[in-house]
Amino acid sequence: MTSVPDHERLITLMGLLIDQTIGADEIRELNDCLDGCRESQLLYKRYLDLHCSLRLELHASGVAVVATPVFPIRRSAIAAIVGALAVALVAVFVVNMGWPSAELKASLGQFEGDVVVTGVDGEIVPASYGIGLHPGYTIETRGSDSFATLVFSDKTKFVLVSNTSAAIDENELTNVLVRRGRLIGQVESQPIGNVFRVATPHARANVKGTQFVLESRQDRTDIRVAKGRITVADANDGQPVVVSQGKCLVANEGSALLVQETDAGNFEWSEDFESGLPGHWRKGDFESDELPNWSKGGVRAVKHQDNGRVYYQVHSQEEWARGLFAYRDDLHLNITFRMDQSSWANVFLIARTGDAESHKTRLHKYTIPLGPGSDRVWWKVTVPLSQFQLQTANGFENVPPTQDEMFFGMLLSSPAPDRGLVIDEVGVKRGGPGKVVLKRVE
Amino acid sequence: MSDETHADFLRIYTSHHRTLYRYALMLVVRQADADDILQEASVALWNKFGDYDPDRPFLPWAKRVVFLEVLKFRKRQRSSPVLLTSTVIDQLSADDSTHEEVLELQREALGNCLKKLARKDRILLDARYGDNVNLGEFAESIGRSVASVYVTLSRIRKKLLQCVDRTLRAEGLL
Repeated sequence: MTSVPDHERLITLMGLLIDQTIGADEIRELNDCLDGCRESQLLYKRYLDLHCSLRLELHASGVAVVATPVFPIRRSAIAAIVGALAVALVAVFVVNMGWPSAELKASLGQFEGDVVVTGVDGEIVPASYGIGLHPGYTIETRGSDSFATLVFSDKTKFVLVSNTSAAIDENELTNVLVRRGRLIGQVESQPIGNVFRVATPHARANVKGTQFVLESRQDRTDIRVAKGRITVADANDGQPVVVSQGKCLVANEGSALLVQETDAGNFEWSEDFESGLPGHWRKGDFESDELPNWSKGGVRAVKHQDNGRVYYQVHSQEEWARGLFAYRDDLHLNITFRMDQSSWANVFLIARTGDAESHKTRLHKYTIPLGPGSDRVWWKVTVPLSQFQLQTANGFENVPPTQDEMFFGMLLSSPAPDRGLVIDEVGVKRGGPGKVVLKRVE
Repeated sequence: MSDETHADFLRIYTSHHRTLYRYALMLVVRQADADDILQEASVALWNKFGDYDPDRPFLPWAKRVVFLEVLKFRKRQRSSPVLLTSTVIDQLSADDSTHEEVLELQREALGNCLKKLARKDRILLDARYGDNVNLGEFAESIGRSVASVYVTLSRIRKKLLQCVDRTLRAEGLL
């Protein structure tokens, strides 16, 4: 216990503490400063509260980082600026005159996580920013947090989102085969006669001057066009169809191509499990016993392990390209559910921005608390989507979703041991009470 | 528990959620830990809501429940490095109305102090708190080391604290 706390030193220690850069000796020193000293404790409370206020207030005000650098530029950066000017001059030349050789080149742009590049002969090419990608190369993003960007010299860009495998055709750089996974494409306008071809096991798309998102699964490919249009044929090169802006193509194995209105215009979604689990349902067992009188089906949470922790989860299908529903301020989530043994359950809504540029998934969370007297009782909870918290680098914050978000999945998670979480119905509707309501279902 | 009581609980819990979160964060520092604790506390509060006397203030009662969840959390996380000792946590958790009054006024004064910050300081603060930005990438984009960004952040927070101090002194609270 210290009797003379040093104000300045305490502030330094608290700064290290909240930025998570504090060492063991400094932790001891901080505790010594705080122990038994009311003045230091008040300063600590104020500092932590200030930290918390900044997090809450700055997020609430919707601030964004201004891109213009106003910090002093280091001398070492001057060389980089000279280089950038040279690049800019070349860029001006390219924009006006085209590439001198008129030959398209491709390279690996930004990437994150476990990205594996394989060369023509199957050799692993170490992934690094700017390495050339040539015909016959394969690029794979492994794990849920990885992505890789394929950048072409005409500024065409393909972003391979997590768990995606794509290959460049052995003969043609502009032919990209997506074996599985999710891809965001921004294809620049092409000279007459030129076109990018993006193929999956179920469809072949000709793209030029287009922004689109594509998801290839075992039995189906979805392509949603965000800007421009795409001509798509099935894997057997059958009659092509045109998919225009705002529409989604569904290529099911063995079925005719289907063009649908995209769900970006849909603000409602529901599942009642009356005839089993919907196709591509990710997690949960179909349940037909001990349901409410009117119901024939529900879904029971199943065990899931994450970083050594055990949860019991229900995970909906993920419609990454098509989306399940888009956000509006008056949306309410309704879930009819039961727990054999009451506890909290987290509802996560999984979203991405509706444009074709962002590859990051956004996670929104709401915690439903259930206490005693609620075991084996059917409940209906209604939660305005505006009350969900957004996952940020700092954890979950009180930030509502935004209108550019497209929700593509839902996950319910309850803690171990198994609480017997069963869902009878789940859905999102426009309109509702504007507050959280939890009611017993008779 | 009747439907009305559920509704009462959710209403009162939602309105005090932020304060309880601040309280948990003060005791455990890490945001993810505070999130976990509040999840467990929400169920514990529901469990005990029948014991709650509506004629008494909700917050001190709820804080006590959150504190117990903090202790349980620390027990579960015994293998993780401890930031604050049990003795210090115990002392910090004590309800102190003077401290609460100071914190309340500090929150009110903070808005004006933020407006007085230099533009470059405000940009850095926004990058740290306002946007989902990785501070390492941000540091790289402005040609600075992460360590130097942390030092600057610490300086900005100190500056804000000093600005708030002036308001608190004027109110006779410091």
